Amino acid sequence: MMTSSDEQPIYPSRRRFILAGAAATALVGDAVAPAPAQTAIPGGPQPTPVVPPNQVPRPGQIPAPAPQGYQFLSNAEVETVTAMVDRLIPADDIGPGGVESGVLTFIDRELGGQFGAAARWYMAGPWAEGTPSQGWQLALTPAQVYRTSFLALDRWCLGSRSKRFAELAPTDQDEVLTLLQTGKIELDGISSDTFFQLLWQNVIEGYLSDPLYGGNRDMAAWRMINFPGSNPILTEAVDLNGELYELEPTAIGA
Amino acid sequence: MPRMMPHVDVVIVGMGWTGSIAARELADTGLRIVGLERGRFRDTIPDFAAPQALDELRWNSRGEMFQNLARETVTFRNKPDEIALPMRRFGAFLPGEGLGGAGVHWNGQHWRFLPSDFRLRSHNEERYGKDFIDPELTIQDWGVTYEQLEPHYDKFEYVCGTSGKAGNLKGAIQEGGNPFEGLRSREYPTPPLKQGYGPRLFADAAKKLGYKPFPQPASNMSQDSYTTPDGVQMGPCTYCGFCERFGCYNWSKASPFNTVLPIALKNPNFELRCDSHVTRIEMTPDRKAARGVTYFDIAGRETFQPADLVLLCAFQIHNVRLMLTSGIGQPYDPNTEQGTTGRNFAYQTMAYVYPFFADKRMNGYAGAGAMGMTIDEYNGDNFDHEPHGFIGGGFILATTTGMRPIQQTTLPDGTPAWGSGWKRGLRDWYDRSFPIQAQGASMARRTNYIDLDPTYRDVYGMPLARMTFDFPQNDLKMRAFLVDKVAEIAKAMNPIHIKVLLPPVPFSIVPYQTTHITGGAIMGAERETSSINTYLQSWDVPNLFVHGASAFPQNAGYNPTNTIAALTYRSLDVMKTRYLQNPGPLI
Repeated sequence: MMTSSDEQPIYPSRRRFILAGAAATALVGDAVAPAPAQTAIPGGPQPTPVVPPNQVPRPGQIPAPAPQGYQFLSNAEVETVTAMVDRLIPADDIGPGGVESGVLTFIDRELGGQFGAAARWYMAGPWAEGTPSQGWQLALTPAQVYRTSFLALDRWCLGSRSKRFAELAPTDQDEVLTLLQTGKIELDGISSDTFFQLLWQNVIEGYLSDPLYGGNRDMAAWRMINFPGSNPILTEAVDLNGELYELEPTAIGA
Repeated sequence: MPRMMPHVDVVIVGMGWTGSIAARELADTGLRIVGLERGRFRDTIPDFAAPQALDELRWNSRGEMFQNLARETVTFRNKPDEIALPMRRFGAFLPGEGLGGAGVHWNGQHWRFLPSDFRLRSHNEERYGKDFIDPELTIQDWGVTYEQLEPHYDKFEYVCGTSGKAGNLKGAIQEGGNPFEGLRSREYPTPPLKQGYGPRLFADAAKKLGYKPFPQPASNMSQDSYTTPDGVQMGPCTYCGFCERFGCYNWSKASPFNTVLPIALKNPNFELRCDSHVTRIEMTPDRKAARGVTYFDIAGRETFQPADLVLLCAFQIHNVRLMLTSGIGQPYDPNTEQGTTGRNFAYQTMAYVYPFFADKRMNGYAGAGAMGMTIDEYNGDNFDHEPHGFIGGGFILATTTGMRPIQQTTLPDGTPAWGSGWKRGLRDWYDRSFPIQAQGASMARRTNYIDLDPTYRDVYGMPLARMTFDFPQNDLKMRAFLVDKVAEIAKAMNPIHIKVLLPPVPFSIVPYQTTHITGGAIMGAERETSSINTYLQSWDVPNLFVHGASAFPQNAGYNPTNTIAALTYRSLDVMKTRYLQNPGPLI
């Protein structure tokens, strides 16, 4: 079944999720309905029941994701990223917004993990600015770039607009984001376009990657563009002549 | 003191395509062989099972199967008077790591080079005169001919079950194939892949303009099953769109896993050691022979593996670096043009054109790595270069390889970079386009070379390889010519919008262009201008053979894998029929 891009897909809100969990808790010992994003691969194995929070999974059952919360971002940083993501991919009638899609959860996990630590980047000195052809030459990990940039940006916003970024009106936030994007703000030695590019890269990744990583909740962004996700058999779509191939997307993670 | 391992006959450094082919071919001879792979052991199952293999973030964005740059990278600069800096994150090219090497994450584009490519300097001088070739180019003949390689190309195509349509069957030009290709002794082992809507639109437009489009040769399995000459079974391609940068879940994309490795691994003469990183080829005191190699195992123990014969089968840049760190051959000096190790580093010259169609879905996610329709009218010397002032060319290819949304979304020019406007652009234009690429040759040039970096080191304390590279003027003229031709075909499809993407000039280590870096340990008929002879044997150290794209004197306008494998099969043939009976220089 396809969700047309005109209809607003239904996202399970956190409140509904908790209520569903509470209701399920009442049915002690009974099997629990699968999470909404779990879809069977045609002809493949059936979805495994997901056990809601606070219940001990039995063999063959998958525990539900841990309660929401942030591993890396501070409360102030959550406010800033929320405001940024909400402007970068706003919630509107075109499709899901970045915040409701879980982009914050994605960024938080990425920054707290291997990516944030630049675990697979060459990070030995000496350091030099280099030419544009020589690519990334910052001595900072992505986590450090975010952290340093947030502080510097709020100082800049307080200095020029008397408010932190998160407190600015949306139009002012858009203006500041454009200044960041075009490299117009000095962020403690980090050029603001470098920070913006990293942020935008991560926002897109969170919006469009498998829900396994905390973003793209309910595959809503995939549904908007009609990307089939990790469906491995697409042979019959090859022969179409410009028509839409309608296929419910599948994901690795719910 | 390093750990001493028992002596073996052959040690193979690197277990990608060439190392795996060598292990499979030599294990039959009864020789005792050890294969050393710096990365971990991997196989289709469990490492690339569905759906985990179809994960764009993990494999593409985070590059889990690529070389771990925290341990080892290269340094890069455009010109010899600049200071090279490390490639800290991935960009222009993506070397693999782990069993199977880059042969696991390639696309399966399975080309032969043109007969004239192997005689590049002689051919162009004969046709256009010596003065036609830009004097900065250090291009040269390979010392091997297409005719000598043909049986080996044929062998590798049958090993991989390559799909395609012959264009030149024993000299007779075939309808629907590439009329410019060299003579083939037989048809492809499997018929062409299905083609998506975009490639078919391209082929129709190209045909109307008088070109002869044909399906790209593809090592993505086009039929329900295929059994290799060794009895290994391959599965059908299901067009999942996760080929390049991914491992194949269905044994459909040819890789060492579903071709040669299962045979090698069954043979008790062959021992595989993964997580074994070679840092040096050890030499006899007179430096005329290799004694074996030193490597570090996963626990960091320095280990010496003695062997009578050393096969360097690592990725291009690592072969060259190992030769430089081991003092094999004289390092190339761009000022004096003396020395051969590191000489003639080359790449590939890319350009992309995207036609957009507002009311059509390409269904590009139903793709395969090597699916595509192509024309070869502007490759090599398939056209008269006299009016154009450059040599070489490239093929033009329309593909749909997966339309994976993070990497492959391309929106029309003028789409807002973020915000609701961007989202509207994504919704309205995602999958309404496809790339038509020109994949051009890369000519060798005096100042493009590899040496050792004086500053930066890897985790073992060894100097990094230093790449000095920029596009020669010849290649930029070629690119401009190809882009015009591609744009003409794109216009003939009547798209609503055309977007042109050209990699930056000067060459930049970002963005991704291709992984086809070549040269640095080049082959040739004369030892003054090459590192290895035409059997891939080191001129200086006859018990050392160097396999891979490092042997290319310059790069042609095609993907390199088939030519790499053909050179390896030819080398192994001569090793088995001549060298092993009487080890010494092969002439």
